[in-house]
Amino acid sequence: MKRLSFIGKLLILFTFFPATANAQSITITPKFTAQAQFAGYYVAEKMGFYKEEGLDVRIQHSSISESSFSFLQSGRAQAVIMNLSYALTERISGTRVVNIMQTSQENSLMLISHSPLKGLGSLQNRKIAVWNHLSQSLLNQLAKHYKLQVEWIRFNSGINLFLSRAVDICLVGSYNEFPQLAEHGMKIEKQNIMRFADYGYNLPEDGLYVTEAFYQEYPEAAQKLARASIRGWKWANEHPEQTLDIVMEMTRKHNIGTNRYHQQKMLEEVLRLQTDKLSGKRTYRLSPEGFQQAIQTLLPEDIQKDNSIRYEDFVK
Amino acid sequence: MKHFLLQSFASRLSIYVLSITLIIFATIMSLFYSYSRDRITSHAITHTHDLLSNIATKIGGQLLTVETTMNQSVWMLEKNLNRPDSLQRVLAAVVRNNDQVVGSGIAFIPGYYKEKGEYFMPYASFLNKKDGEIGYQLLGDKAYDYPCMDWFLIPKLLKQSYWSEPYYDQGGGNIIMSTYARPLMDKKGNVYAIFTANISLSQFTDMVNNLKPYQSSYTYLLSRNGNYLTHADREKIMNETIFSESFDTQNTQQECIGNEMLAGHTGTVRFDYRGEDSYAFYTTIPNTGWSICTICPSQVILRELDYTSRQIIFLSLGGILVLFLFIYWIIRKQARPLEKFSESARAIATGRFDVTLPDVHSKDEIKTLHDSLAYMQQSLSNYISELRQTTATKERIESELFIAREIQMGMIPKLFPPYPDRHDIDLHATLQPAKEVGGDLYDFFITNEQLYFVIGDVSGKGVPASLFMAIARSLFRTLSQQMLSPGEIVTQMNSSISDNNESNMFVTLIVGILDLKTGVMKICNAGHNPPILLLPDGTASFLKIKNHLFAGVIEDLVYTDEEFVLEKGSKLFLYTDGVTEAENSAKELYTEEKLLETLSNLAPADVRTIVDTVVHSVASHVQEAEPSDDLTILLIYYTPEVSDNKE
Repeated sequence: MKRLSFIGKLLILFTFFPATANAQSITITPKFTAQAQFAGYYVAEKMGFYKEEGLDVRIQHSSISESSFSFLQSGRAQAVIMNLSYALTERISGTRVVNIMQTSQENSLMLISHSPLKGLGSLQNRKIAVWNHLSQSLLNQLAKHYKLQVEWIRFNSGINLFLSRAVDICLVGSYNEFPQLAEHGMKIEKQNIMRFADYGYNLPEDGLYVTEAFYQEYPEAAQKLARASIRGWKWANEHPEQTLDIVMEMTRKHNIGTNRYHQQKMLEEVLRLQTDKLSGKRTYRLSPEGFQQAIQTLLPEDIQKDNSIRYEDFVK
Repeated sequence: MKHFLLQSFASRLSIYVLSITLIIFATIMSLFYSYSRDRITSHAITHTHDLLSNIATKIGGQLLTVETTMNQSVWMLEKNLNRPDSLQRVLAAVVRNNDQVVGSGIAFIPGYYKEKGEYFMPYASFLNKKDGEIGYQLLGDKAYDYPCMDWFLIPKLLKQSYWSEPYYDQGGGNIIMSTYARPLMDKKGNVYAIFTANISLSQFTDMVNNLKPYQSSYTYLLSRNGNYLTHADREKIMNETIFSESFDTQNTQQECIGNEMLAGHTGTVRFDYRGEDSYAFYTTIPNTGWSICTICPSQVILRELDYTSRQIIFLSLGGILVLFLFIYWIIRKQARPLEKFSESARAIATGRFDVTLPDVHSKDEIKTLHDSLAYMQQSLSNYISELRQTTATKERIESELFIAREIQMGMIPKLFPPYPDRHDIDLHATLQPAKEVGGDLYDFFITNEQLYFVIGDVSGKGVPASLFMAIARSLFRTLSQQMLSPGEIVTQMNSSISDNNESNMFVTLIVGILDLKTGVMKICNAGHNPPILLLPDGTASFLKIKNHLFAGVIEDLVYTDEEFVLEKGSKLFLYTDGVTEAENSAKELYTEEKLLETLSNLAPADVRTIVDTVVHSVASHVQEAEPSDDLTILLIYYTPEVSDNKE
């Protein structure tokens, strides 16, 4: 078996050698520092799935203070992982980005509180801590959508603000900050949690984006990139322990303060969020419904009416 | 070998002593170990907590100096608020005045000084700690958006001082820093700036790392959010929390310890840490919410005790082994005469009563045993000698008795049928003495077609009775030659026996004469059991004759006889009380009724069968019981041939 596998690898090497020699170099920039949120891409790179597609892919992380979009904009990356909301907002602003793959099918945002949250009413006139990188227009749109009068407290990252009880309500992600609470000794009761997905704001999040220009120039490369990335995610789903090994290797390489348990919880949650709630399957594609909901929730009504962003143009 | 060891008195006794010694030793050792373990553990807890408390106080004290320095500088800041550029000098003074502080800044809320723009945060820090040179910076821009940072937001929102969650310094080194942030408020209580001091925690982490109360123990520093600030496993520092580790290893006890530490408690918990029984000693550092904890495997604490205990056990076991050998040797030595006595006793048992006993010079139990054996030797010798004599005498008596029995048995007819040529008469008899010789008798003879018969029972048993029986039988034989009637014969016998009967013995008798031609039978009963008449039709009944007094007591007594005609085919059953008074083990008699019943079923049988059947019936009644009396039966069967007579 081993021998066969070795011969198989040799064959693959010979078959793809000419392709790899002229492989197209692509840099992918995830939207945050190294963590299990991007496990599928690490796997595809580490396991040689990109190489098998004839691509020479390099993963370069953004920093806490710099968005992945800026990497795309400046040309430092050809493909970036972005939130759908971020991508749509940038598209409205005029940057033509296209979605070539969608991992997230369910929104991970949630509000946690030290006191019970009983529906949207319990948010009225409260201070809510939110991440600094969220755009003000998005927050305004959210407030308008849910008819909320709230004071947004902007903070950089982490959960210290909430743990110190300086704020009562805090925005967290279900795959990162939320498990961190337990890891720091805080138990949050179910009634103290509000998941955005349960209140109509079920916007898909992470997707893989390239510029429209890149897509038009290298449509095949973009498809190969998406295909190999999907393969990476599938492998990650089937081999969680080996995937965690790869993730931990990445976090050590980038000197990220984290631990295996946290990354395991993150991987589990990220994989859960990739499942479409209705079909129970992983499609790796942004659905027209998801796209439409994002348009309705995020964009001002005049732009919605304008119908300037079409699904077919945005999702490739 | 094993068998021998267990059989040997010395080894068995030694093993008993060894076992008891071992049990006592094990008990004492267990108590000693248990007591010492409690004491040592208690001491370890106190000792470790003293060390922890000491270090916590030291860290808390040093952190307090930072807080004090800051508090004392506030008035200077407030005094210089209207000259923002001069604030740097106040900050420099803070850095200089406290060794802990590596940098100090004051971060104003956005737009506080309109002329300074949105961000304004003067910051002073050492350029070079050795030279004491201080550099100044103005921090705050899009990249360093301090109003969104924890150290700014938390004290601002809480309106109270805050020791930030430790973080790695910006220089990228491995130095862990913490920021003390004090909110500055105007008269209305609104926060307008956050006054900060950054301190390096390296000296504290070094202090904690060096705290190792026991070999293999280690101490870690935990932040108020459960992050490891120091740890023996460097990988865990700032990466793991006590909870992530406990969840990963599913160690709920460790999780509880984490909760206790975060709650600022002091305590000791014994728990399983990565498969090793360990102690966690923890306490809180005042004012910070941080905690320190020493982890120590329980075995390490008890290592000295375990070592000492092992030494004691090995030494004691060695000692017990020596004791065992010594006891074995001493018992062997003490018990050696016993072996010799044993040999002597065996020799005595074989009849060598003159065997020499081993010499004993002590005056203990062995001496007593020697004297007892000597006495036994003498007694046995005497006894055996007496026994020999007694046995010889007994043998002689037995031999004489045997001869007497032979003589007695020779006196009575034993050959049956006695008259095989005759068809008109048949007889059968048996005499079974209870002892070697008996006092019962029977006899019969035919002369002139007259059958003379007698059955008797002498009072008493054994040799005297047998002698008396011999006399009675001789008298019967002699007198029946002369007398024609049974009454006369018995009268004469009584007269002869009574004369000089000093032993007062007597005899019961039935004497009869049967005329074989006519069937006329004369019979005299002197105190004997009534005979039974068995008729051919099967009826059995007692023959109703006068019962005279037994013979041998009153000299002049006259006995009379009675006359009967014996029917053809009738049987006359004569017996002694050995039949009817035969006792079984329950002291139940055979009884006359039972005899009648037995006989009534036997009418058609021949004389031998009838006698044997009655004897068997009596034997099955008596079973295992000792025969109480002599048993004698005489059965006469009369069958005259009538046709012959007519001819």
